[in-house]
Formats: sequence, structure tokens, C-alpha cells
Amino acid sequence: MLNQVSVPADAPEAEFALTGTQAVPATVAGRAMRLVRVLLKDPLLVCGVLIVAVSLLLVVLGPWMAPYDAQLPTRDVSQAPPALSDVPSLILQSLQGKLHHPVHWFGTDSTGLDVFSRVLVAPRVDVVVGLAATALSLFLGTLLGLFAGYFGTRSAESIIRISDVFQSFPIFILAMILVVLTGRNVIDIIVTLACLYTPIYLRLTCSQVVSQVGRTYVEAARAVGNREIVIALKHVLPNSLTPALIQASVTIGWAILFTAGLTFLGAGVRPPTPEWGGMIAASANYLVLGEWWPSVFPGIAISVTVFGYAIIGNVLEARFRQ
Amino acid sequence: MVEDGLGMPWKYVFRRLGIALVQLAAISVGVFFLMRALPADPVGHLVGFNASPEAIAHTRHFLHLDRSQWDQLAIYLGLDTSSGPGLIQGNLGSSWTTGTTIAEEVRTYLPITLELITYSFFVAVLVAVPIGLAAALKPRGPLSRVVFVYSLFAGAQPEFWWGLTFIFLFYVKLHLAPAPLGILNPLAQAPRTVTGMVTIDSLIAGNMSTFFEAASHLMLPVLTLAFVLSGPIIKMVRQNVLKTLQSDYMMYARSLGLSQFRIATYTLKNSLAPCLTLIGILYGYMLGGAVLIEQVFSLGGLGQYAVRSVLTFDFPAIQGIVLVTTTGSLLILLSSDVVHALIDPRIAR
Repeated sequence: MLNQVSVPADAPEAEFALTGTQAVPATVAGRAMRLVRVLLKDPLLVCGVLIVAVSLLLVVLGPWMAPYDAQLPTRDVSQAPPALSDVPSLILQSLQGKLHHPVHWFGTDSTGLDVFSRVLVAPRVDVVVGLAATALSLFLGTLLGLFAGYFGTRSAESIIRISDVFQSFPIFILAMILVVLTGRNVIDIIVTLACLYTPIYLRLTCSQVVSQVGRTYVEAARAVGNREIVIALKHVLPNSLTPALIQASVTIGWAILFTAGLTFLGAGVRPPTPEWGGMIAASANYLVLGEWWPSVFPGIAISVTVFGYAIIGNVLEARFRQ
Repeated sequence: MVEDGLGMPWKYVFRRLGIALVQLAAISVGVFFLMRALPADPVGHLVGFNASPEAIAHTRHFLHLDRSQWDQLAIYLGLDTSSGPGLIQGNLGSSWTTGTTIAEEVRTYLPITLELITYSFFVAVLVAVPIGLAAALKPRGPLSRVVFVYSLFAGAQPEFWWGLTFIFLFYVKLHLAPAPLGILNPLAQAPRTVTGMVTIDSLIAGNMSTFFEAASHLMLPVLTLAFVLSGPIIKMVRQNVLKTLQSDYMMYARSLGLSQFRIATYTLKNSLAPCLTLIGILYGYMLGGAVLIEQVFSLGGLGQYAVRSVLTFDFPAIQGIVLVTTTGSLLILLSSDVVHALIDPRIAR
């Protein structure tokens, strides 16, 4: 498994070792660069990487890129977005600075909030929750999975049974209970989602570790006199991480969907914090009246963002499973 | 292994049922303590802001919240029957907000959810299996590529937003679908309750106009859910058929010169078994996870009941819902595993 991860089939190690003058030596960084070069040939993956890059950029720069304050109503209430045919000239005019106030590219909602600004700022909640929850569960899950898998098969068995229970649990209802009863803060959502996703990483890492402990390199490390904890952390862990890391991208997408869904139900972030699901919920009733823009644009944002994270996870998975 | 004439792996079934019972017991106790450990104040929520201290004390006493948590657990489980039967006696308790028994409320709301998700799975599987199969037969072709992208896309979508978008398109713009206000028009005569599923009850009553009414209201939610569900199912079918086609026994079957039809039958049988497990897991998840679609179309199923109960801190209702959905998904998982074991006896070792 690991061999295929670090050295793709069409870039054999020997080639680089022989042509030593090449810019990419056979180091870890060099292998990573080669891997990136091979992967970028896949147009779908490039799409995914671009989407993810934009979402990360918005987390950092969102509030500065937004033309209006995302929580401050403007005087234009329920204004429709500009017609598609007007967009080029409006872009030109706004670049030349001829407009008195910035264009409402996505229109405004029924309270006069600028939809475009809110869509740009929302990743501060959605994407941050996704990243933080995934990082936390990845950390906890891999550590627990490593120790369960490394120090005994019995603990591994019981841990798998416990995560079975989690799997049969109504996850959405559990998340609602946890978030609502703890007070609907962003931190609560992150911790809740991390708890829900930890068993996934635990299982992935545990099964991977179990397949590694019998390998000769582990035996060699032991023969040299390493302590067990060092072998587990320094040698077995890096060799068991790949499935968990690939899963991480998928989990970020799930967490974004989950956050948006919870907020849509009124069990997530409190309004008027800009959040995609909450924006859709707030304007769902106006959809029937024909006011489509305040709910359509945040929906597209969720749809595209989650798709981007799903692409990366699934394409990498498909590649490394072969 | 104990087997009867049909090859039913009874020992496996009983062992799994035993494990499921232990899991259920753990979950009901776990949820009980989880809700009491969280910083929420159900009494304050029930009596309101300006309640007198006596009213608060009275409510606390009435709901047994003034007793210790272990006493409350004993009352809930039915070990202490001084104030009525508990869980062991088959009583899920009564709602704190409506006073109705949880069993009765679940009996009203669960069939609606079952109706919605069963039709959705039916449509999703009906679409996903042929598409996944076609994609797997030519894994390098352009169709396979398109199907791969579609399954990724559909599996990563906010279904509540698609539901709203479909409402906008088909109800507001095209007037093809009815208003998203429940399974029946508020003015329509509901059929006599037999199963609680409106489409089936109206068929039993022989009331075709009610049946078509319910079917037209279910059309959009089923379409939305089937779209989202088709993603993972297509992916699973495609992967498994590919794996089966590359296996040694398929090569052997081909080298024996078996007919194409024979080979296709083997492939389907061997690759659909793992898909069954996935469908089981998804179905169990949807028992509580269809809540977003229920909310968008105001269907009034179990998920919406759960949202209402959580937002009003209705502890007995939440405990009941969790218990019912977990039981449901455990039983579904078990039966999908049993069918899997019948197809592939190696599973039930």
C-alpha cells in the first residue's frame, strides 16, 4: 500500500536515483513533488484542488473581499441580482470606480443583507468547522486506533464493537441533541462532529496497524532495541496513516454539509452569523414568492465546496486502492 | 454451525441479536445520562420565564427531576414501578410537552418517514444498479468517467437545498407539483389508519383519489432523496462489479466457456451482496437523517418530531426516538447481514 502511495507506477524510483542531476532528488520532499506532478494531470482532481483552495482563501480573506458588512442590513431590501447581460458593464464600471456604492452581485435578502458578502464570509463558519472537526477527530482517532491495534487484539476487538454502536446510532439526532443542549456555539458543533467522526479514523487506523505489526521492519526496529512506544509512534504510525489522511478530505465535506443542515433546522449556529445553511433557512419561505436569490447562491456555494472536498478524497482513494 | 434445511445461519442470527440487545441497553442508558449531563434546563423551558418558585418545584417533582439520577434511571427503565411501568415493561413514557405517550406519537410519525425513505430507496436502487453495472462493464470508457463524477457529485449534496430548488422549479415556476405542505392537502379526507402510511392506507380503503394525492405530494421529496442516495449506491455497485469481474473465479468461469448470461448472473449475485450492507446502513441512517427533507416538505415524520422534541428539551421523547431509530437500524443491519450471509456463507463464521 505505502509503496504505491509514495512512488506512483509511472515514476519509478530508480529513474531518479540514476539521473542524479535532476532537480528532484529521492528525498521525501522530492517524492511528494513527483506525486503532485502526476496527480495534477487529472483534470477532475485539479477542479477539486481549485475549489478547496478558493474555500481556504475565503476563510482567510473573506471579510476583506466582501463589499458590504455581512451582518449589517443595507437600505436595499429584497433587491434582485443584476441581469446577466448587465454584469460585464457593471464589472467594468466598478473597476473604474464610477459607482456610488458596490453592486449587490447576488442581490439582497428580505432584511436588506447583501447575499454576496454573506456567501463570501460564511466559510469562516462552515469551512472552519469542517477543518477543525476533522483535524480533532483525525488526531484522536489515529492515536486511539494506533494503540488499540498495536497493543493487543482484544482491545482492538472491543473498540470495533464500540464504534459499531456509534454506527447504528441516529447520528443526525445525536448531533442535534448535543449542539442544542450545549448552547449552539461553533465550538460545540466542532466538538460534537469530532466525537462523531473519531470512530471512523479509529477503525481505519486500527485495521491498518493490525496489518503492519507483523511486518519485518517492525521486527527490525525492535531488534535494534527501540522501545515499543517509539516503534508504534515513529515506525508503525507513518505507515498506517494513508487511509485516514485520504478520508480526511471526505470528512471535511461531510462536516460542512452537517453544519449547514443543523443550522438549516435551527439547531446550529445562531443567526445572524453568516452561514450557508442558515441563509437558506432564513429565505426558504420567500422562495415560494419567487425571491430565489437569497437561497440559491448559498446553496450553490455548499454544493460546489462539498463536491470539491469529495473529489480530492475519492480520486485519491480510487488511485491508491489499485 | 447450526443450520436448518434452508441454510439459515441461526446461530449467527441469535448471536447478533444478543449483541444488538446489549448495544440497545447501552444506548438507552447512555442517552439518558448524556441528556442529564448537558447544561440544559428543561424545567425552565417548560414553565416559562416568569414562573413562581412553587411552579418550578412542582414541575421538577412531577417529572421526577428532584430525585437522584439513579432514581430517575430506575423509574425510566421500570426497575422502580411506583409511578407507573417503565422501559422493561414496554412503556416508553409520555411526552413532557404534549402529554401523549411516546409510543403513540412514534406510531403516528414513524410510518411517514418509512414511506418516504422506502420509496426513495426503491427509486435510487432501481436507477443506480443498471447505471453502476454499465459503468463497470467498460471501466475505461467515457460513460464510466461520467458516472464516477455523477456519483461523487450526488453523494456530496445538501439535499434540503435541492428540495427547495425543486419546489421553486416544479411548484412555483412550472406548476407541476403540489404545494410542499405535507403528504395530503389539508382539506383532503385522510384514509382510515391501518399502517399509518397514507399511500398504503388509501389503497387498502380503495380510495384512489387520496392515493394519487399522496403520491403527487411524495413525488418531489422522493425525487430529491433518491438523487442524493443514488450517489453512494452507484459508487458501491460500480466498485463491486469491477472487483468481481477481475477476480480469479470469474476468470475461471470465463475460461470454462460459460455463457455470457451465466457470467452476468454470477457477477450480479456476488457484487450486489456487499451493496446490500451499504443500503442497510444508509436506510438505518435515513430513519433519523431524512429530517431535512421532511422539514422542507413539511411531511411531519419522525425526523421533524425529533427536531421539535430536541428544541423543546422533551427528554422522554428524545430517549424514545433514539431508542426506536437505533432498534430500527440495528434490525435492518442484522437482516441485511443475514441476507448477505445466505448469499455468501463465509460471512457467518
